[in-house]
Amino acid sequence: MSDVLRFLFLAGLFFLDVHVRASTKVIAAEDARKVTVQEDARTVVLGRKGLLEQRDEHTWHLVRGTLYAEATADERFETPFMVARCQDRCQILMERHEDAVQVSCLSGTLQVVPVGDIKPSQLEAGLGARFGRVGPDGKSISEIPQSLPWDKTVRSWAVLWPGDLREFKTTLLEFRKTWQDGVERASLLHSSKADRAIASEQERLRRMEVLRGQREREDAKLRALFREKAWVNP
Amino acid sequence: MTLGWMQLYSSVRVSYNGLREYQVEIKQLHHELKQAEIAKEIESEHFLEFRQYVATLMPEVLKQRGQGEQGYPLRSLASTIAKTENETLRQAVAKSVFERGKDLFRKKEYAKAKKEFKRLIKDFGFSPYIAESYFLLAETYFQDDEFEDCVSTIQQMIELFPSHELTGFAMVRLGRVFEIQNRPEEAVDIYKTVIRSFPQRDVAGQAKNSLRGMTL
Repeated sequence: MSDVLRFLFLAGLFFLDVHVRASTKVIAAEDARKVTVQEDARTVVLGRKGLLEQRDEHTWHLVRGTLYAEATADERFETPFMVARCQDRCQILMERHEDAVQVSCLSGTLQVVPVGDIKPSQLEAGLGARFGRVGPDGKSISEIPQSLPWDKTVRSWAVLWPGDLREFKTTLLEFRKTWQDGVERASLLHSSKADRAIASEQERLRRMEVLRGQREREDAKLRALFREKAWVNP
Repeated sequence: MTLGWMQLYSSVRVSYNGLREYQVEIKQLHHELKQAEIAKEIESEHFLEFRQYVATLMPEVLKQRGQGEQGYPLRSLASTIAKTENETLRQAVAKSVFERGKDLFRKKEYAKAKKEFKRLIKDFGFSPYIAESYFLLAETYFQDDEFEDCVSTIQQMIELFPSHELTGFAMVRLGRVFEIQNRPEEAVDIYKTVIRSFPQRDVAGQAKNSLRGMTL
């Protein structure tokens, strides 16, 4: 009886394994060419030497290389470091490294949830962020959004652009304004972050000074207590 | 005519010597190899995802089951996640354990304080609070009249931190223990050793006072 049960269990596992494997689709780009998946509401382009796993109709997992996507809120882009989804309609650029992923939002707004976190953070157009491995706090180590480096972004985008080059030029002219806004926004973010860091450092120093004073007083008290116990009042 | 025959011979040779089959087979093997490499990469990616998932659970697990000898495998697992930051975390935990012990000592809850200091000595051996922990542990033993343990803790202190100021104070305490145990000669020896070996004014002064008290 137990053999039959074991057989049924293993058969079930085998069925699940085969089913799960069959439902994912692997897209591998050749050494010299990119792969484009273009359908009604979405365009996903995988750069050369890239590897992408399509886990279901709307879930894309970037394993290696660069990816460009024009998508709606239905599409979900994953890596082991974060999960991203467009808020409405957006254009994104992702570059996968071994220990991190660089995500750039080219238009629209991107909602990104670092692994281990529950709350999504918003990445506005013209900004990018890097997400790394999970740190000691149980969340993916991520940096504050940065403005996009113009040359590098444009070069990567041009390589992955699915349409013709004239169309890209027009898009790029529009993007220039977005990029400028992004630079402004990033500088504001950095300045407020720096202000907060300075304030918290000052507060930390103040607290340390208070603690040091307390500790000195406590040490003096402890020594006095020790002297008292050891000699004067045994 | 000869040339024609030679051409026909070479084409027949190529067709029947199995070279084409080999070429096809090599192509097929290359393709299979590429597929296997992709499959391996996908598996590695799934494993990385799993590791990331485990890493998200580690802080909570460490909090609950990461202490003591039994928690070593978990601490070891966590140390592969982020080593340097983990060390900072350990130091912060050591500090909090020490502060708690000190607080309990101040409230004269010696049994509880003892537990904290022992934990600090056992789990955070390289913490900067270790000398003070030994000293306060010896002091808690003394307050609870556990002289044997007090003496052995002070002996450990002498071995580990021979020139630390607190070791001097602990040795004065050792002398006091000998006095209580009615071993005045040993107590005098201890006080004299402290006066000779510890240049710090407080320690030497304390030892002198103790010695004077004995001779009165």
